[in-house]
Parts: sequence; C-alpha cells; structure tokens
Amino acid sequence: MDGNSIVTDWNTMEAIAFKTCAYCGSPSGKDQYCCEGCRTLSQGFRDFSKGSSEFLFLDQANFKSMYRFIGSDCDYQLYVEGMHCSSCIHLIEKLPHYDKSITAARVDFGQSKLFLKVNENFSLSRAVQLLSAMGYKSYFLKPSDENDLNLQKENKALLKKIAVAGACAGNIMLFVIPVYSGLDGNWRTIFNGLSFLLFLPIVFYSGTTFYKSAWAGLKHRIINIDFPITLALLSGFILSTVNLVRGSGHIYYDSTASFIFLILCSRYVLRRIQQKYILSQNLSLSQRHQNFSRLSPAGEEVVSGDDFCEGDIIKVYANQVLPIDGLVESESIYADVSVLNGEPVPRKFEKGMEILAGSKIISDAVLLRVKEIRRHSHLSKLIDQLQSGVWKKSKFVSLTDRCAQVLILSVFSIAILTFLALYDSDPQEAFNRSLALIVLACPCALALGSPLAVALAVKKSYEKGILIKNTDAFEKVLKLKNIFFDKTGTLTGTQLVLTSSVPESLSEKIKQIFVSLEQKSYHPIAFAIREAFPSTKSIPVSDLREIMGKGVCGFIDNHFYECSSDNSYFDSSVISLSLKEDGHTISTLQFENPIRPESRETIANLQKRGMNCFIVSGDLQTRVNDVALVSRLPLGFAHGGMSSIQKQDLIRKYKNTCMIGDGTNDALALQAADVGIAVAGSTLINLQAADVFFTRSSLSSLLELFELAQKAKKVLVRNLIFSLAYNFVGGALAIAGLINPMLAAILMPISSLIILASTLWGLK
Amino acid sequence: MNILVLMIPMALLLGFGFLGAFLWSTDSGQFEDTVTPAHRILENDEQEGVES
Repeated sequence: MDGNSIVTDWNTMEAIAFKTCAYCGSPSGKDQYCCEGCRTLSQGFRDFSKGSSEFLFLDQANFKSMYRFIGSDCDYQLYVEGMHCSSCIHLIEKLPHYDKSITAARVDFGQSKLFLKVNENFSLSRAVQLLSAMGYKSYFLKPSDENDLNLQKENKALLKKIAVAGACAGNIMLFVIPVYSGLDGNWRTIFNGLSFLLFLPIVFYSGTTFYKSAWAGLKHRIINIDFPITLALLSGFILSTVNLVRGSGHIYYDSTASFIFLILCSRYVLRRIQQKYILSQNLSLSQRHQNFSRLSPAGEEVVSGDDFCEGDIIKVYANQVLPIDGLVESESIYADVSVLNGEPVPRKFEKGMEILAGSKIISDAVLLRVKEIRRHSHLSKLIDQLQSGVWKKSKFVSLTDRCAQVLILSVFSIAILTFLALYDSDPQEAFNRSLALIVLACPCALALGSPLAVALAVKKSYEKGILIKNTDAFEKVLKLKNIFFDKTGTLTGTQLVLTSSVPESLSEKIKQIFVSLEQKSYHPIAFAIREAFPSTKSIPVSDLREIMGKGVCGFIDNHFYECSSDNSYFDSSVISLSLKEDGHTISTLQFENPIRPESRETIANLQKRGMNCFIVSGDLQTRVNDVALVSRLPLGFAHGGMSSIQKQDLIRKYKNTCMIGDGTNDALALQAADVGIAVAGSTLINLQAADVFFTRSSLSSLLELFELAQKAKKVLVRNLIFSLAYNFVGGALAIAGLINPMLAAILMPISSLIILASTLWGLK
Repeated sequence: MNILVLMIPMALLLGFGFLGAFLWSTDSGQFEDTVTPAHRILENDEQEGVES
C-alpha cells in the first residue's frame, strides 16, 4: 500500500460512506479497525507471549545459523505478510519490548521486511510466534535468498561514483568560466590546474566502471558501448593535460566531466528499472518458507522445503503446496493441480505416479519420495526460463546493438581518414575535427535507449499481469492478422456455475441438503453450490464424510444422502452432480464454465482492428457454436472437435497468427503460432511453448498487450530515427569543421538525455 | 584578484563538505528505505512509557 495515500485520501475517504479505521483513518472495509496493528494499539497492549507450539521446530540448532546474516548490520531478516499501515510498523517495531533477546527491530515497509538485531538468547520460534499472535505471518529469510544484497552494494557504489562525478564536474564548470571569458596569464594556469585536480577523481574513481566493462568486452573481442566512452574519457584527459603542460590549446576537462556524469546517471536509472522488475517478480513467484516433515530412520523431523535431497521420503499434510517433484508412495492421493493445468477438479494420483511441484495436496499425511529437488523441479525451471527470457535481446534490440557496433567502427575509420586527409594542411585542425566526430557520434542514444524502452515495456506489461517470455513478441504482436482462441478456460472461465437441474425448480429442502452436505468442502463444486443457493442455510449433518474424488455423504434426519459426480467429467466442460437419498437419485445438478463477460468485448474490439478471430476447441461442435453465437463470431470461424494436431495444422494454414489457450492440447498450436499466449491456469507444457503468459484470467490483457507493443514500437523507432539523424548531421558538421570538440561534448550528453526523456515519456 | 585565494578553497570546502555528507549518508544506508520513515513519524510515542 502506498504510504502517501493514507494521508492524502483522508478527506475523500471520510466523505464517501466507506468505513474508516477507528485508529489510523485508512479505509477498513467492514471492520472497525483496518488491521491487527490498529486494534492492538487502540485497545492497549496485551500479552503476546502465550501461543501454540506450532513454530517450535524453528528452534533446531542448525536453523539459527542457517538464517543468520553475517557481515550485515542486522542478524536476522524476516518477510512479514499483512503489514498494512503505520500502526503495523509501530507495533512490530515494539518487538524488543516483548522479547528481551531482540535488541532492535526495524521494518522496511516497502519490501515488507523486518530486520532484527538480537543477543545470544534469541529464539527463532518465539519471534515468529510473537508476530503470529500480533496477526502477521512471517518467514525467516535465508542469506542466500538475498542476492539483492549484492545488487544493493553495487547500487551504492554507483551512486557514490555519480555523486563524485557530479560534484567534480560542477566545480570544473565553475572554474572554466573565467578561462572562457578571456582570462590569461598565471590565473588561467591556476584555474586550469584546479580543473585538472578536480578531474582526477573522475578518471581514477568514477570512470572505473567504464574501463572494466570495456576491457571485459575487448577480452571477448567485442567493442561495447563502454569502449568509446573510455576512449573519449581518456583521450579528453590526456589531450587536455598535454595542452595544459604545453600552455596552449584547448582544455576539455569540463565537457568530458559532464559527459561522464550524465552517462553515469542514465546508467543508474536503467539499472534501477531492471532491478525493480527482477525483484518484484522473484517475490511474487516464490512460495518458499513452508516447512515439511521428512521421515528418517530416527523418526520424523521438520525441515524447510529447500533442504530435501533426492530420494528422501517426506510426509505432506493437507493444503500444503509441494516444493519438489515427487513420486507418490501412498496408495492413492488427491491433489489440486490447478496451478499447473488449470483444471478446477482435483486429480487422483496412484502409487508410483509423478506429482509436480506447485500441486496442492488435498489428502492428509501423504508420503512422497523426492524425485527432483526444488531447484530442479519443472516449476522452477519454468520460472527461470521466464526470467531469463525477459533479458534475451529481442530482434530489434540486437539490430540496434549491431547498428551501434557498426556506428562505432565506421566513426573511427572516418575520424582517422579525416585526420589523415587534413593532416598536411593543418595538424591541429585535423585533430580537432576527428576528436569532435568521435565525441559527438558516441552511440549511447542507440545502445541505451532501446534496451531501456524494452525493459520499461516489459515492466509495464508485468504490472498489468502480462509476462513476456520472448521480447520479440512485442514486434510480432503488431503484425497479427488471425487470432485463434481456445474455448474452455480461455473464452470461458474456470469458475463453475450451475446451469440446469433436475427437477427444474428445486425445493428448498433439496437445496438445503446440497448446501449442508458440501458445507465443509473446498471442492470447486462446493463453491459453485454455495454461489448458486446464497440464501440457503446449512443444517448439521451427522457422520459427514468426503468420498475422495467422488463427492460427499452423510446422514440428515436418519436418511443417508450421497452427493457425487460422474467420473467422466474430466474431458467435458459439463459436470453433473447427483444427489441420492438412501440410494435413489432425487436430483441432478449440471455445472458449466460460462463464457467470460469480457470475451465478447475483446473479440469485438479485435474485429474492429481488422483481425480475424477463430475458435478452436476440442469440445463438441454444437457447444463451440453456442459460444460463437454469444461472441458474435461467424459460424465458419468456429472449429469444434479439434485434436491438438488439427489445431496445429489449421494455424499453419494462416499467416501472422496468434494462439491463446490454456489446456495441454493447445501446446502444439501455441508453438505453431507466431505468438503463443498462455492464459492464467495453463499447463506447464503450455507455459514452455508460449511467448507470453497472462497472469490475470482476463482476455482484456490481450488488448493491453497490443497497446503496449504499439507504444514500445513507436518509442523505439523514434529513438532510432533521432539518433541516426543526429549522428549523420552532427558527424557531417564535425567533419566540415563547424562543430568543435567542446560543442560536440555538450551535444553528446544532450542527445542521450533527449533519448532517455523520449523513452520514459513514451512509455510512462 | 587576491581574494580568490580565499574564495576558491572556501567554495571547494563547502562543495566537498556536502559531497562528503552525501557519501556518508549513502554508506549508512539512508537511501535504502525511503517509505517506512514517513510512516514512523505518524505514530506518537506516548505508549512508550506504559510498556517499558
């Protein structure tokens, strides 16, 4: 939550009939207080020290050293869930009052982190339990989780380099004013000497970033962007120093210094944007911090999900999310694999079957043998792929990179030719002109602008719930002509809705039996029933049992009721549920995934843009036709009863295609299409085949993707045109001797700034 | 012009004093968390005495 909004929205919040927190004034929904922190602070402190033994496993000796941060200004770091307003900060920072072994507690609200300083009596379990009593879920972070610690160090170093460069460049510019305004004699030497002294920190401290990277590039035989920067910096320094010693000629300290300062600044901005993206993604995708039991000869021990080894036998309890790929050891179990395949109905796994990380176990106390540890599990491989794909250079960026390379090389050759051609007539002028050319034509605009534009576009789309695996998608999206939709899970939702029933109108009693039988169930059908009969209250059921994967049964008023579904529903989009009273069917309900409301708008919008929309589905043609009618598609564009291969073949017949789907049977089609888009709840294999992944289950993401792609393209083209025009015009003027090196060094950072501004503004 | 002998060192001293202050504050981590302090200031400390 944004900190400012609490204060600035104060007046508006009160004006609207929202209920606000009685303590801090932020909106609180239905409750009197917005969070536990406010409740505690307004009702006075209470004793938090009593609590369950739930967290005692954290007191094992190896945990204490494992989570300890060494060489940092805090001893332990926790990720705290549920921090909401300033009261939470206040309350959590009071931890030292409750636990004397904690000497200091500091909250980082932005990152939801808590930093603790402790003495030797510290107990991990007590801290977590205290926080839990206060109403916050918390997890200890391992030092290895913290690769951002290094990033932070590098950021600090860069920031300091910028500060030094800025201070020196500013002072040099002051000292150069008298020289430019015609000062001569001793004072001129003194001012120039001062500039020289102030330039030393830039050469030996701020510039080191460029030398290292240029050298690393040269070692791999690549001339990177830092090479000409290094060259400009060093040649500016050497030339000016030589001129200073000789006592004649131009001094370039001021221009070179400001140029380095500006380049460092733009680097920093780029870095921060990239990091923000990486870090936020890490947090959202990780589901570590769970604890599991491992069976060993010595008995059951509790370990964190990261500590499993291949071959371990582990025990997983109901509602835990698997951290590893495993083989089922229990006879038969049920698991919710909707994270992986989007199927709303739990799946049954028999002994020996493989079950993938990310599945939620429904049966209790399940035994599993670890097949692949977390780092090697399918899920984490996929996440790695998603993350690394973002930084793969798109074709356009590689094009601008190549442009930049060619530009650097050709500028060098032209500069040398100019120097040789003019050397006979006037050596000084020859040198000035070629230097002006080199300084002016630094391709920063090109090499900085394009990656920044793409990084910003990726970040923007991430905020909108669109994960871009392959950045080429931005370019391909703009050429799309034919869009293919899968039906189930894409055009229709995954939420089940009651569509029909036998008998047509249900008596209140039957409704009540349904609701009562399903009252404790987390099955999607149970939610659909509660949704369908909102006003029906449940009554107690004796001997209520869940028949795993079938349904539920129990006694009401001495009648035995059984509520079960056909097992054939796995392949069909219709699920039927029958209610049996003492063995006789008395009612049947039918559930369906209805079409999403925004699907129709999206299709209409796409058609307005001149695109052809198709439905390709494995479902019955009649059902597909129904959906086509609702979404106002010509029936010729609705293809039902398609197998994966048929879908693939159909897509191959068209050009500039996009496939949007979620089921495993869409994977081939996703790969065949120019742009494959997997929607929320897709199967694993789909995520691998797709270029883009929508994390929100809404098709309007597609329109947002189009808009972003258009914007990004506009910015990239604008940058390219500007920097090429600038380089050609400026280069020609420099060769003609109309721009001296001084002016060139002023123009160069200005051009970089214009590119940066144009990129940031274009994608804001 | 002799006044410059005094003014230049003073200007430099002032400038680099602030640079030093900035480097120190960066090192001590004052720019790492820019969100929380704004919240911390909203709390009054009256409860402090009750508890400790």
